[in-house]
Amino acid sequence: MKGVHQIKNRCRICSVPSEREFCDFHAEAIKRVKEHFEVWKQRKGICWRDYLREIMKNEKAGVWVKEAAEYLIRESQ
Amino acid sequence: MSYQLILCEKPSAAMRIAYALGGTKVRRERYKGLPVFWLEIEGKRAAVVPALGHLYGVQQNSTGWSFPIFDLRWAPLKDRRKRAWIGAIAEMAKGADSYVCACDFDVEGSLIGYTILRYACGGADIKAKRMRFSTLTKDELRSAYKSALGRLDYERAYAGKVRHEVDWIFGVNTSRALMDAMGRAGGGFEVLSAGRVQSPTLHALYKREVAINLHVPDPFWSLNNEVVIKGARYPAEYKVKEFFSRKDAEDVAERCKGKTGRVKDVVVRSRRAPPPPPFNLGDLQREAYRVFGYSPSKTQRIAERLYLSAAISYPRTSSQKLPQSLGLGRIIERLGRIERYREVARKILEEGSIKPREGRLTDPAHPAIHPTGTLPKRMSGEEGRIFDLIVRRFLAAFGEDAILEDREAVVEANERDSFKVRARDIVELGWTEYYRPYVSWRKTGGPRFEVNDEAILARVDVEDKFTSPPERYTASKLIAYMERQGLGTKSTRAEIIDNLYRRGYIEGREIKVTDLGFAVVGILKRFFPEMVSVKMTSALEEDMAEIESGRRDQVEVVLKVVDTIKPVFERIIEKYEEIGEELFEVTKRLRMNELGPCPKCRSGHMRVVRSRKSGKRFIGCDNYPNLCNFSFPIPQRGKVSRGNANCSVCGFPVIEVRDNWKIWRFCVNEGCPSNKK
Repeated sequence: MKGVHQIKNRCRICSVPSEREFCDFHAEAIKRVKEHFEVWKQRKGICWRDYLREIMKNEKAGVWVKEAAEYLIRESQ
Repeated sequence: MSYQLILCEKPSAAMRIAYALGGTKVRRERYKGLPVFWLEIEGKRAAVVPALGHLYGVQQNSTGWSFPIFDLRWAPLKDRRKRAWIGAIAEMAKGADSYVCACDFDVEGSLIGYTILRYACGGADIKAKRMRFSTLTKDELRSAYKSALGRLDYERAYAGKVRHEVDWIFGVNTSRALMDAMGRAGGGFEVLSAGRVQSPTLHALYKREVAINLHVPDPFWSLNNEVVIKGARYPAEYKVKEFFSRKDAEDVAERCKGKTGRVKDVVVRSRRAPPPPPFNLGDLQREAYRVFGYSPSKTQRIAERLYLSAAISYPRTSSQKLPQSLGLGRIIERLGRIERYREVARKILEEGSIKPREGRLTDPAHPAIHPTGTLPKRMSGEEGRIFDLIVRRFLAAFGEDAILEDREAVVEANERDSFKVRARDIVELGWTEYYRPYVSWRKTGGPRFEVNDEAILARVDVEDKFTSPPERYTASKLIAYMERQGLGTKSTRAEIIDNLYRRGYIEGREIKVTDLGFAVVGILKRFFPEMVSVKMTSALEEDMAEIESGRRDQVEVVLKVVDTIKPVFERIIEKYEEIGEELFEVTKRLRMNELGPCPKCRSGHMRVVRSRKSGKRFIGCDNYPNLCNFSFPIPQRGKVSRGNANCSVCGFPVIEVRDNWKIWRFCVNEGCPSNKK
């Protein structure tokens, strides 16, 4: 039965097979990173890129959230 | 000449029971390897024989491989020694004219006794009596023998029987489905396990891990303040705990720092802190974790050893009750003979009325864990620590309430800003004196605040903060979660957590779900959602509790489980290909990630490869032969994994090979000096 595996899309962050652009976890992480930007902008008056950098180095940020922030920085370059 | 056969759960318990019932006239011998204790009880011969825990287990009834499978039977376990003991007990049973089950008085003990008497002793279960005891002390064992129940406690044994059968049905079918699906997808054979309680527990950890990994911290600011009143320093709390703008916080700091305010309001509340209830197993596990850092399973093992040496009562109990019938005064009196408990015991006995503070929880079979008053001849350091914790907690239950005084003052810095200052004094130590060193309260009495006292705001600092992710579970918190959700029983919870560690699904003291754990839950959630549902397994626990109390029939519960789960497994067959593909992907990914990226080409992954020529294994790169020829020799035995840190000499990855207790660590850089040590 080897070779029956269909070639699927892979998550653009972690390469896990996925029907969509991102796996469920990274899709959720990207959504949350985008949602929380509003809070950071209001409280710290920070721009999008600085916000992503802050998230990447924040020790309380989750692993997938940091990976998502890193991906979004790469994408915007 | 015929005799009475007294069946015990373990050899050490058998020896205690034999000497308690037979005094000094006990003759020890071995019959086909089985230890037998011959004695006389009121002129009648008796043979006390031990089991080795469970001698029988659930097995497939038919032969061959099939799925789903519900056809099971109870059969001797495969262990050679256990089979030999079954043979010897069966022979011994032939010469017996009466039978007594003296296994531990709980679900597992009753099941052990029932299966041996039924299957090895030719249906002797219907003639057997049941001894019920909570401690292995001479007095209690003698009285338990005299007042033995005229029949086995079938309800308890059946509850255990159903638990084993249902767990077998869940475990075997899920594992078969996973492995078969994997095989059909060409992924080879991989041992993946799921369990009725294990999977919902892992799922709870998984949900917590997801919440931690998806946490986006939000910034906020708070004030860190200190106020000086009558020369004493107190932490103070500003009326706003979280500021959403740094400027707002700075404005307050600027207005208040170094200023002198006045105490406006003072509230004094006196509070009584009653003693904690005596231990049940869960409480003991949590406290031993807090005090000594012992894992729940370690605490349970130590407590069981203390029980077998008759130092404490039966530890697998939910009860927080200490009935007077235990002879509490006598126990305290005996403890008073031990130097370190003498003073506390004397104080309690002098009080006159010996009435402990009890908790709400009960257990139909056993009281709360308590010392018997006997100090074992030998105790290891760990046993000594747990014994001392149990004794002091038991003694603390007889103490008076501790009395605390909470004082709260409102300090007004100016018209806009006020701070709350809180102080607590311990007025009466009460029970805490008996529970030292496990609580270390000291009597305190700071200066009293009074209205209009001067209050200097010595510190008002702005702190940058971020919202935190949820805390990780520790083994102790996980036990509490399982208790709340009705997952597992007091006896099985610690073992289930240990299993999750052993299988590599979780790691660390603050529990982290591994990639393998994630993969397993991911698949179970998608294809067997019922397996990770807390609802289904806790409903089953309730059914089993009803069997134990005689309100439910065992066969009915097993059939209900089969009816619920059969369509689930049948549905799975249709999804075999999908499950197989997913499993194949997951295990491939895990294998690749296990050893990390190749240090030579950086684009490939290190993996364990077997040479076609020599059959020997080594580490190679999965880009071989096209892009990379990296290889590294490793021992031929043991589990290979990536070390936690890179080499401290050259920075290359470190590989660990574990063979039982032996661990080798290698830096994958062959030329690295660390490999030449």
